[in-house]
Amino acid sequence: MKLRRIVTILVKEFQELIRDNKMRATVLVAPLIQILIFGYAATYDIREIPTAVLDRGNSTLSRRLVNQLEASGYFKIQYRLQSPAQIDTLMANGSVWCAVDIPADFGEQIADGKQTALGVSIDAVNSNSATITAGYLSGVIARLNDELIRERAAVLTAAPVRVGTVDNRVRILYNPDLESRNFNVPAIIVQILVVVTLLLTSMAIVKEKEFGTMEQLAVTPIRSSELIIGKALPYAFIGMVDITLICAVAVFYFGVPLLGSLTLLFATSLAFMMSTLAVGLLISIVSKTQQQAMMTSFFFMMPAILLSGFAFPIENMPEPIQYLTYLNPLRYFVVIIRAIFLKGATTAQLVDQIVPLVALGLGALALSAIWFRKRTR
Amino acid sequence: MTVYAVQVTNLRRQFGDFVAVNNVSFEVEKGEIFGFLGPNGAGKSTTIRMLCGLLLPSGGQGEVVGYDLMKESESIKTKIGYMSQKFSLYQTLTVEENLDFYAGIYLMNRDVHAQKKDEFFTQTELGKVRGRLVADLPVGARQLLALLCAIQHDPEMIFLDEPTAGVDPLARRYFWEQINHLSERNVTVFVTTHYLDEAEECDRIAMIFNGKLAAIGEPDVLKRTRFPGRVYSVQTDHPWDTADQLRTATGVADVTLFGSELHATLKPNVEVAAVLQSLPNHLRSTVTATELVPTLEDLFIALTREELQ
Repeated sequence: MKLRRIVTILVKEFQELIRDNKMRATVLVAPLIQILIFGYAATYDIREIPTAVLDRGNSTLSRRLVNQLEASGYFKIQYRLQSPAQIDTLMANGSVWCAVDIPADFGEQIADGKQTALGVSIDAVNSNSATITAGYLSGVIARLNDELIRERAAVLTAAPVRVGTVDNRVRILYNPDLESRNFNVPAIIVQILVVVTLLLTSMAIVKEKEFGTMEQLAVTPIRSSELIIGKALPYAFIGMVDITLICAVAVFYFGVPLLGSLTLLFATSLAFMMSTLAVGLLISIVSKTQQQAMMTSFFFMMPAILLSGFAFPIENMPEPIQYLTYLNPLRYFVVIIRAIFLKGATTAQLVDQIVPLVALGLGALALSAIWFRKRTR
Repeated sequence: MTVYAVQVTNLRRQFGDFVAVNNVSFEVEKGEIFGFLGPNGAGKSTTIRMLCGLLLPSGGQGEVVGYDLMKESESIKTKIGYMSQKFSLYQTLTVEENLDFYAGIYLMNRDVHAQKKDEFFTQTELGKVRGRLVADLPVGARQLLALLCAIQHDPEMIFLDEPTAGVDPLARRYFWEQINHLSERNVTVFVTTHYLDEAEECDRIAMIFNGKLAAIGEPDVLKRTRFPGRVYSVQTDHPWDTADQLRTATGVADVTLFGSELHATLKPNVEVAAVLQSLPNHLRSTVTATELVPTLEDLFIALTREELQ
């Protein structure tokens, strides 16, 4: 292997990159726009759920329930209805996600010491937000019940009431405000890194095939190892620039805490990029045109991202698919990057993730290098 | 040391069941300009790709610039240059950056390369556009740059795969001057082309049809020895009618109209007098026939026909 050839390829890649407006945009602008958009969009927190209320009795107690719903911040009462038929209309056209039907005898029943039912409809097209909505609603009602019990007891006994209850002292660790953004933004960094490195590497090699320069290179004495390294280094470098950029946005703009070591973050990013560069290389071997490379890249990236545990917990997946995810480098890196950001995890704590990540990277790189050599002849 | 730059015997390449190159044997002498001709799909590119080490032969053996084709393709690559019809240059790099790039890949001595570049830029038109992107160059300039990129490392042999496709006649002329210069400096030139006037400039040519070598030798010798039958120029007052009659006459292989005159190719061992005798009286009276030396084009077409039958 000759260093000069590697440097020659590397210099040429940068010269091409600098002159190519589209590439420049892909490399610098796209990741920034993505982190800004996803940073705002990728949140599970639901606030101000559009809600309709049908208060049939209009009692003190029913008004109290409605006030508490609104005061929680989770529900925004947009409609006060007169007839049950309106509920179906509003739910069907999506004007509200949640409708609360308070029976006419709501206040009387409770005053009588009886149990009463509340009719709740929730739009479950998005099952995730429906579950969250139901949870919020239960919380509000539990608090109301608690208050009612205490008040009732106070009426019955003249003396100050002491109701024994369980107060669960949950310690919310690592993300005390339960900000889902803090959970999601680090994972988005993974996604952006995949798109940039995998797509760019595959395109950079396929472009040479398309323009015929690959054939020209094949007649020169350059070795495939020199070519691969010369091609991979610039995109690894760009990956590092991008990760610095988007981490800066995550920390300084979105206020995501970065508790762990930046060095560990960069080191694991490099390990991760071995895999993505290798896959990019494999894609460039099977693709003849840049369009093909692009399509094949997405064919890999979509399942890789969905099966990374980024959005859907791997523990909930069917067992065979869980095994499949062990081959997904994203699976490890998502865990690593979240742990570095939110837990301040150290190398020792992450060794279970880092070892398979590095092993996958080396394996994929070796495989693609061997295959690449065979295919050039 | 052998006097041959290329020496192959029974070179063969199959793609599945399709035999692209079928047991081809030939030699190319050092320093000669060797033309490789054949219709599209005849196996020209496959042969050239095997000789350059781009494609492993399925069978046969051979040497290129003294190295074994099967085992030493990497050594071959250091001693040859290659330029294809696609002018494989980097479009978003400048003229000078392209030269620097290939110099780096071939590990050229930096001082030697600087001197070479000076030479190129003072002696050719490229000096005026050294900082211009290749994408903005006219085809002729790109072709010249591609040639310089392929020869700046002083290869012993250069392979040119249809180097003048789509280039204007003036640029073609200039390009062939460069090729002749190379040959004078004892660089072996192996060139494929569809332009038969270019083939005339070669020291020797080979013609390949359906993967098989049909003819090899000096162009002038081939025209005389390999051409089946003889060619006559026929002058007549009634070119159309005469052409029609000759086409059906026995002993005539081919008739082509060139303006008001006809070129008639006779089958082997056929006398022109006998053919003219067979014409109807009113046509025969105005006809005169003179023998022509067949052109490479005549030969090429005749061999293609032969192969088709």
